[in-house]
Amino acid sequence: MLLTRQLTYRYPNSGPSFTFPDLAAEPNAPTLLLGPSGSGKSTWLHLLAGILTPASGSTTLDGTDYAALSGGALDRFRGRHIGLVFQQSYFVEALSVSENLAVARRMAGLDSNRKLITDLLQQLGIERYTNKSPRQLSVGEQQRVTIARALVTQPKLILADEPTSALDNRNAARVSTLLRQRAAALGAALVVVTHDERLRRDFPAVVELEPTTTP
Amino acid sequence: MSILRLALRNLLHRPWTTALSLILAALGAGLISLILLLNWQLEQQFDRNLAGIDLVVGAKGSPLQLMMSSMYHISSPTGNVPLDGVRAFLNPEHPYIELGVPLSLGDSYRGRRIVGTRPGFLELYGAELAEGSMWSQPMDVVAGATAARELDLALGSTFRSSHGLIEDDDLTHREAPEFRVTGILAPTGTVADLILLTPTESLWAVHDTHDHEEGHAHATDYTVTQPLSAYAGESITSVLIRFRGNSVTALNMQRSINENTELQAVTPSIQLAELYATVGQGEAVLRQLGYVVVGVSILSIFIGLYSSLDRRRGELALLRSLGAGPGKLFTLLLLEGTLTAVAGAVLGLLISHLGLALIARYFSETYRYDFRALVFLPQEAYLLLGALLVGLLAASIPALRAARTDVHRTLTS
Repeated sequence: MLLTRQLTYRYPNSGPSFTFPDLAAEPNAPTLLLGPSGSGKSTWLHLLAGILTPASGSTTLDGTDYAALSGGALDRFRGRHIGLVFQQSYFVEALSVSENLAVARRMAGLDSNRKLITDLLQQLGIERYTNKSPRQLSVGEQQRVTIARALVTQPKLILADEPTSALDNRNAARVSTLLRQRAAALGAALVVVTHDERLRRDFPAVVELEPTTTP
Repeated sequence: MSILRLALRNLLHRPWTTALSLILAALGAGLISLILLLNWQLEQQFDRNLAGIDLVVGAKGSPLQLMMSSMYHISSPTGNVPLDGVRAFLNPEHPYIELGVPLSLGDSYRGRRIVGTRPGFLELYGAELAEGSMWSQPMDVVAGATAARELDLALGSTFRSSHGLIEDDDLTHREAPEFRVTGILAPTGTVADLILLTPTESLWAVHDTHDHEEGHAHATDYTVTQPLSAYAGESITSVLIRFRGNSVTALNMQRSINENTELQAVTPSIQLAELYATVGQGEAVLRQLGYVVVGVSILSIFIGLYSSLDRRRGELALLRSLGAGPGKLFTLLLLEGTLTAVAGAVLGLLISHLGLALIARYFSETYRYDFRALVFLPQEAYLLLGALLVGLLAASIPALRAARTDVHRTLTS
């Protein structure tokens, strides 16, 4: 499970500062972090992802305080244990859908398990795009490939940043269901950061962020 | 999907940029390697055929031409000299001369030069008979290995020579007696392979039929085993001389011949050095052109990578978020640069060897010289190493920028 304690962040050069509420995300209780733009949602997510290093506080995943890690060790920890779904879909342009998944495993230091990749694409209903370039897919399909990539390393924590805000109701509901189902199947903790009110009813644990910045 | 394969896929993903960089690298490496190869081949050919010859004595004219025609059997002879003038150099008892080999040039058979000489010629080039025997009478021929193979000559083959050094049916000596092959030389790797050797008297016999309309061949009047100095009133083309002992004698004798006689004496090593110096100027210009192309190819690899960074910012941030450290992104870009440069250099080497093969064909047709296209010089390994450095140099700045990708800023913008 993911535990955070007294997490703060301060942007350099007298930028805004943030203090975040403590969080305990268990594998069986997907957590929604809900807040308007400017409330520091993305900052919070990047702290949880180990992309940003907090000014103080701790982020602990299954006993490892990875806020204390840095450099290559932090990159390896993130690659191996945290699956990320971003608001915008990023891909390695030169590679096909399945190769993008294989690269994710490789960067995490895992072997490119072909069977696992095929099964995953099948479970997400995108196996027919296996050898296509991700850029040829629709936005909804791209989002599903991104989710598949976040799952392919079988992480302990899945973090999603506005995974549904670009999607219509039907696709948004589908992505929300997929994320919760697959996280539960993996036994991974799921934290979704969004301003999308449509997701509120899907998540048992909701933390609301106020648009407050402490000077 | 290793970093290496990812680098390859990225290169193939932007084929035009990659192709441009590849071609420029190939052009630069190819040009430099071609210059190296040609230079090496030329010096090889010239040096191998020096054969310890200290002095060439012949008719006055261009010293380069005298050396080329008498030693390398390229270009035409400078003319003939009376035997009386060079008789001294052919004397086996001469105090300074270890070996004096007379040459009579000017005739050929199907483009291969016929050289009238004495058995000393074989000694000069370290040639030995592979089959048959040495000549015993005028019109007997001992063929060089390559010449025999290409002209389909075997022991007992006969042919008529033609006047001059090019293949021309109208110039065939139809009235003259036929040449007959009595021996074939083992390959030596020198000009001895490329020519047809015959006793000097054969050429006199052939030309006697011109001079005397009644056309009685004198062939049998000559004794090919006696020293050439025994004849009077005849002429030859030149003498190749190897001295006993030191070369001060050579320099003195050369000066004395040039100043005091109607003859010309040329020191091949000096003449070659001058030739190399002349060729070297053109070579230097070409080499500098090669460096300029290499410079442009560095620039092209750099620009290709650098401009791709803007489009790949999200991609690089993604790789970071997937667990690739800055070092991995640095390596990725470095690999893309060096792969392009090294692949280009390999392509360039292939092209230069192909070019050399074409040049070799031209040379063997025009000058009957054999060039080897499949020779790889140690410098070419340095060229590949250089390409590696060029790739690293061109890719280092883009790679550094890639390694510094700010994941947070890229993903939130």
